[in-house]
Amino acid sequence: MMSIQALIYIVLTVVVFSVSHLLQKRFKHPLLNPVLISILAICGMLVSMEIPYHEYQEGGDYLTDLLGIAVVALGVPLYQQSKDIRRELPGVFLIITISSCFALSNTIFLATLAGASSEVALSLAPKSVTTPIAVMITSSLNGIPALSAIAVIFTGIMGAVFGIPLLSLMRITSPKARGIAMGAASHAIGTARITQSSLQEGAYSALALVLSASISALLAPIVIPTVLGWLS
Amino acid sequence: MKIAFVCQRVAAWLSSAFILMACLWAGEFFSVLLNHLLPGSILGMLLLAGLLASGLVRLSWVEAGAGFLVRWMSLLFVPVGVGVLDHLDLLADNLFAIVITCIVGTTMIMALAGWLFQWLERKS
Repeated sequence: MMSIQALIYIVLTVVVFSVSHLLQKRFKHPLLNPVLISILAICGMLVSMEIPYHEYQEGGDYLTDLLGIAVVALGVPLYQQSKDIRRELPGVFLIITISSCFALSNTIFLATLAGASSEVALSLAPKSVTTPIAVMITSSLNGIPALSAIAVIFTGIMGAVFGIPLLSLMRITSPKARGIAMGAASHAIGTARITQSSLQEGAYSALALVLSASISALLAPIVIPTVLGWLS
Repeated sequence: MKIAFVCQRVAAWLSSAFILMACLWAGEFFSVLLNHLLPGSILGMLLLAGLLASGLVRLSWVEAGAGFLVRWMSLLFVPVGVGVLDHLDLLADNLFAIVITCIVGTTMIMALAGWLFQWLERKS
């Protein structure tokens, strides 16, 4: 049975998120991303009231568990676009393969340039794929899974906050290309954000999310050691 | 009249919940079979899209719950993000590398994937 304490933290999270959501609707500034604001606000509350994270987690875990069902629900926009998607699948597949290789190697390269050790660089490498896959890739290569989880969340938030203005700035105007770019770079958090602005963009983002997760899982054990070999 | 409407809504929610859960469970099952190559939720997503495409599941059976979840999905990432509190030392030690890869790297990946796809789309 759910404890009262867990329930309080769930309600707190929902209330904080709803307020952040209203703030964004009112002011429409990209930095007011509800996910970012809610995380900062709740972290602030926990730290200032000296509540240990595992206590909050008791309630938070119920919400995290719902994530699985929410990802399944993305099957609906995917289906709604499936006529278009079927025709374009070879192209999408090719581009996601290129972008996944690029994402893995480019991240290692940038991290090394920023002074990270090879262990840290390889843990950051799968940051553009969804958390469970990123953690799996890192643990299979003896990296630091917790670091991957942090990088995945930051990457997602970065995409959710700046992704849409960045896409417009880069003159990526086709809704399909915008979805693909968001899903390839910022996985599920970016997909959740872009789905709110357009279901078509959301469907392509979900497609890119699925493909980049599977392709990265297959390629990472080859690409990551190879790139690390070049750099050492 | 009103009661019929309420019953219909409740049925729509129950059927969405049931189908989504069933897809997730089936996905988890296949994930184990595939040696966790892909997480169960992603396999469940593909399964749901496949069931809808084949006509075995009708859109009206899942629309209510799925639409709600997709709209509010962002909320579910909040506890995961708050989890960073548990790893502040890792974050502090590697802050520069994380910030560079997340900002510069993510922008580059987004640009590459978006430009390539847009180019391909205009060519064909």
